[in-house]
Amino acid sequence: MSTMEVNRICYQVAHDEDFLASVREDPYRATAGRSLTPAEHDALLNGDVAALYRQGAHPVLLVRLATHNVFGLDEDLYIKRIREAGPARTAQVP
Amino acid sequence: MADIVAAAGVPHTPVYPALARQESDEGRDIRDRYRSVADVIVESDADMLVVLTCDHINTFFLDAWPTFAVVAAESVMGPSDRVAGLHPREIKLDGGMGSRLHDNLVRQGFDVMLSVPPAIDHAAVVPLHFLNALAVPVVLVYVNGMVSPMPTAGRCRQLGAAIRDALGVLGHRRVGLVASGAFSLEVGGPRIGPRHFYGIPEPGWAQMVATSLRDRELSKLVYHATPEQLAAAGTVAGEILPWIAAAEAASGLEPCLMDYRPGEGHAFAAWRET
Repeated sequence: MSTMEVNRICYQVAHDEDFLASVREDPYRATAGRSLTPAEHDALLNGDVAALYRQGAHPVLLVRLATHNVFGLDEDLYIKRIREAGPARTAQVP
Repeated sequence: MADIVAAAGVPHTPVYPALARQESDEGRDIRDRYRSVADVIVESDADMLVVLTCDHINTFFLDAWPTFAVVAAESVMGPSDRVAGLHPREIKLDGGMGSRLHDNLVRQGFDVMLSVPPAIDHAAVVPLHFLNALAVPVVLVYVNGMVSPMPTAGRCRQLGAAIRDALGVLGHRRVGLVASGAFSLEVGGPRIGPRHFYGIPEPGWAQMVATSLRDRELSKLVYHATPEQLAAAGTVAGEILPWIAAAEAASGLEPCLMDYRPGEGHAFAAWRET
């Protein structure tokens, strides 16, 4: 169920300036206390948006990690990774 | 009673407001396409706009995600997300009408959420930027087109009929309806293009939608707009759902504009009184 937490972090990056600043300053510390599995936390810290997408993160939220340039992501890297994420889901599950 | 005197449907692409300011062929083209729709609304002498659109997980979050919502705020800030060329500003709404619309819809059996949000995103702000130069009062209606399970196309058509019936008994107004969104659009998912955060997975579907709306074949559109079809058409292709609601609400009007270009995932459309 911690996909919800991944989605929440993506949301906060776009809507909480203090959180965004903390993620940019120290991504590990900013997300260390969150209810993420170790795999999700690693994927987030590594900007592995393909893995997060496959685990159910909503793409409309996920893309904000790139538009706000956090977790090492920029437009080019996000596009490259998400296009290699495999088949599109058949539903947008929260 | 209120009369629905015009209806419109437009995309809400966040880059369009900035593009439309450019003295380039592309800028002029965007301006002209929105102006053609805006002219229909202005000529109708509408004194209120009801905007049907989809929140992009900005006003609402997934922990309290509405299937349908009516906004009853007197004003909101917007856009709450990044829209090049549009700084957040206060947008006046008709909170009283929003509240009465909510009450009427619930009495009709539509358990719509009542919302007084502080801010709204580009999905409502971009169309208002282009279509509400006269700054008439606005009521916002949100339809879930982003998160499964989305309401069915048939249910959204019923919502449109209920909105039409509600407006028929709520106040003496000349109402313009505005549907906002795309028909085929991938945002953030694997089917985005190689140089953008978006893509158009099924332009053929978008063309079928545009043709169905132009030809008043709403039953055909509703039949084909299954959850599977919407998922195939992109991560935000559920934005067709407010169009379906608006088309049903405007069923007493005549389609007068359907500006769809092959390959695109959206259209510019308008309906007016016969």
